[in-house]
Amino acid sequence: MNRITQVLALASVLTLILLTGCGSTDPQTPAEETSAELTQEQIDERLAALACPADKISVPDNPSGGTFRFNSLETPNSFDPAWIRDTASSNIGTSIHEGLVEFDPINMSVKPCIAESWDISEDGLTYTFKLREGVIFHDNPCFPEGKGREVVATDFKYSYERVCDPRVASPGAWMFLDFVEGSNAYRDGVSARRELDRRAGGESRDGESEDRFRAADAAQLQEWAKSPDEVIGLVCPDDRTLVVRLAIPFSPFIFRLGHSFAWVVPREAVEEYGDDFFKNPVGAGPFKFVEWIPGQRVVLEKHPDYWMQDDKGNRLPYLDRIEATRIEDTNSEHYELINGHLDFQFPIPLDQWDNIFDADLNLQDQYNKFQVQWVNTWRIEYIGMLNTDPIFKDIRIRQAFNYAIDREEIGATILRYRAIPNRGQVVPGSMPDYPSADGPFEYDTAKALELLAEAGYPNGKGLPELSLQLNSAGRDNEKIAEIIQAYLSAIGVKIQLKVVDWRVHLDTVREGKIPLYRLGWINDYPSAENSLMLVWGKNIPPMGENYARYQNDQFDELFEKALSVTDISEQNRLFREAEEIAAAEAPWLFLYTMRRFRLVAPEVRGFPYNAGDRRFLKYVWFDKSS
Amino acid sequence: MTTYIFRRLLAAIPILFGVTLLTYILVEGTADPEKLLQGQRSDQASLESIREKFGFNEPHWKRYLNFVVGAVQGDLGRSLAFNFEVAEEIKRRFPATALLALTALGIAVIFGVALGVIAAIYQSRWQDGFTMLISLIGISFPIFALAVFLQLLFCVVVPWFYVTGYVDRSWSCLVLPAVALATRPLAVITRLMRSSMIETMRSPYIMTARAKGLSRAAVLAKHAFKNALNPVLTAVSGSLAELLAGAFFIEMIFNWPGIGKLGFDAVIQSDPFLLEGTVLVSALIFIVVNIITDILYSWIDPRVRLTH
Repeated sequence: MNRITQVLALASVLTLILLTGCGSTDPQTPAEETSAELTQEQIDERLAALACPADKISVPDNPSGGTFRFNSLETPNSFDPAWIRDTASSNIGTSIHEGLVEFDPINMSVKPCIAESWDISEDGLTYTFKLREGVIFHDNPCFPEGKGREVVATDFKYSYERVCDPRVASPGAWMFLDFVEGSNAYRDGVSARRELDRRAGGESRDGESEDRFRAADAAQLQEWAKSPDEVIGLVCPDDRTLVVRLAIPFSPFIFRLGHSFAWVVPREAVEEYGDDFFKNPVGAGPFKFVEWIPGQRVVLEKHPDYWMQDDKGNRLPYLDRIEATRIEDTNSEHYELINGHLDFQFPIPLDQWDNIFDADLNLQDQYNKFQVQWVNTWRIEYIGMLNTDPIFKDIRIRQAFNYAIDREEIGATILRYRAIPNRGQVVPGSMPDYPSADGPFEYDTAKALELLAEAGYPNGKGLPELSLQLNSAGRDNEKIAEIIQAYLSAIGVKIQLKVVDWRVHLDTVREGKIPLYRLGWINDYPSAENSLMLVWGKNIPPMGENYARYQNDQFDELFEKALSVTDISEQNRLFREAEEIAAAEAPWLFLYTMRRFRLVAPEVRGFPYNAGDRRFLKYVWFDKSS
Repeated sequence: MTTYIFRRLLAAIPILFGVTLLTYILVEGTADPEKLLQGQRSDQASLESIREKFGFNEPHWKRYLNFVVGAVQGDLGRSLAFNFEVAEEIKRRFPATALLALTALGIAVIFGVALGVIAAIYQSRWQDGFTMLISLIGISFPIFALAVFLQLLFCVVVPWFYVTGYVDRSWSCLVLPAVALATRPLAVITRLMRSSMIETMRSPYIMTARAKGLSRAAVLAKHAFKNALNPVLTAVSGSLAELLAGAFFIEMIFNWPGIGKLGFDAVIQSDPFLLEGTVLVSALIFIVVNIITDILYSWIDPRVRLTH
């Protein structure tokens, strides 16, 4: 008897331990009752209360460095600028490399970087960049005596041509193609010469091939092959001057030059490392690459010859070393942060949200020492409507859908503080220098029903059951789709949800097979053009990203006019005018813009959180007194 | 013996073909891998150059053949998602997985066998009940939940260990993942050892040994124990192959840079070459471990003859 009680007691203790272990790691359901009634003012107030020292860029006389540690949840794939196409790579690459221009760490406007100034011709076609003196590539064995040399104009010509080169097959060729004079000709020339070589080697023409060059006849190839072996629109009159000539005016071009695909690389390193340049990157950025063990960590250290100084005369960067780990599990990542082995965490895992914040967005006691940062990002979420579909070609139906949804509820329930209702903005509200304004679609069931009736479907009668296709990213997409389903059924529109794999989703949407689909967009660079091109008539697939196939001549005219205006505020005024036209016609069912949060270690300073989530670690220092 | 091994290896060839062909059809046959390299922003010219660069212009039979020819020469291609050479990366990661697998298996065998023997000796007494309860929990408890629980307890509540990391951070990083990973095989081995031991102790030759006057301890140690190990060996070899092929969840949670994490990435990214490579290597590991087990069998139990 005694033994049995012993066993039972032990067993119950064990179960208790195991159950509590489970309970504290289980994802908690959001506490809906408290946040559902929040007003916009209350939300703003609580967000404002989170402001912290890391938000600002201000340095003491002798900022202290040290090692900055962060984690990337995804594996980086390359540190070769021509091949950086994911956030994990660009978040690290941005410390290794730099380009002609960069973005302001707080508001993301364009700033001089390796180019100390530039001049744009009246017609918007010629950009003349004056390069800064004393910008030095990292020391590397690829240079004579291992000493990094100065960056000159031909380095940019080389780097940009590389991105256009079909042998490099860079996914970023779109940055230059069609815009920079001679870029397409250069590309076709290289491909044609390669195909001619192949045929000279005995392989035959494949008339059936999807590939233009394999399918082309010899005469056509010869014609293409005559193109020069350079991009003629990139000219270097001297070491300090780079001239870029555009084939057509394209005002947002200056923003593209701040993108990772436009970072500068030295020819010596590319030639030395060949196919392995992606893991032996050499650049001119504030940190020098040290090692990369895939799946484990990336280590960078201070580039001692970095050109930039702060206004107190301190040389940047302040940090001595950066270590980026690669932990996949967000809870493990979170425990590392708590234990002081990481300097920030992004995003904050939803499983931990309730441990970190109370319902009023105050930090819980054990997190008090941490800093919380938030930002309204460039990420917009919407339900696309195929504007060529027999049902959705009627503007009134698209508008009715937009009036039928209470966007506040998505923010209040599922995404909590993470969603800003979007009542009709194609361009995210946080675009720098852009005169953003709220959209027209307030929640108004009566109006929605009225529009439906006008379109010939009173109370939704006569409308077939529609299908909303979405990809399942976590469970949020499904939950949000269910809310939309419920709101639409309130005006008599029945939709069913169809969840598919992301790749299938994107392909079928691109092909124009899906009348109703969930999609999002994050801007590549801070220009309204990069958002508005999603509804530009000339951007309809297969050539572009206007998956909704929205077309409005007036919009196109204004949009294209803006592309040829060099003055940024005039440009933005025209973009805004165009946006208003598109928004009123509801090319999509607008949902929300994402707001995101990150948790930062107590002593981190000079690390503002910006809308593009660009991480400029060169400004970061540690406040050891905190 | 040599002919036996040779024959078994020969028989493995169709298996490897089947496995790789199936993976190829599932991964490359059903998706356009070049699209993996493009974001939402895709243009014809880039797709063309990517197809050309990675050989996606070729017909499927030729692409599969290229893969096989490459694999025979130890070249598994370059990962599309992460750029590195697949074969090189698997080679680099194998020691991490092997270290974790062997440590976990070591823990499982030592404690599993010991607990099993104790349970068998004290059959139907409280020692037995307690051991069986522990092993029941070990079998039923989901391994990823256990891993997170261990982390919470030993890294956050009492910070004795690092949350994540490999032995280059500290050798103590091996403890938690190995314990978590050992739990299941440990529980299985305990149960197997117990029942096998009980069965052996009931067999006539044990009774004979006892009847001729050998002490209980001597009988247990000399006769029963070795014979009872046989079914345990099967369990061990099964677990070993499984563990060597990578422990997905444990490697992910503890950020252990092994094959399992690589396979996980391959699936998440639907990276064709990486998936084909990891599947091929896993299949190979299973085959080799099985052959070794069969050889060990014949060594432990001479009644098993290596014919086939």
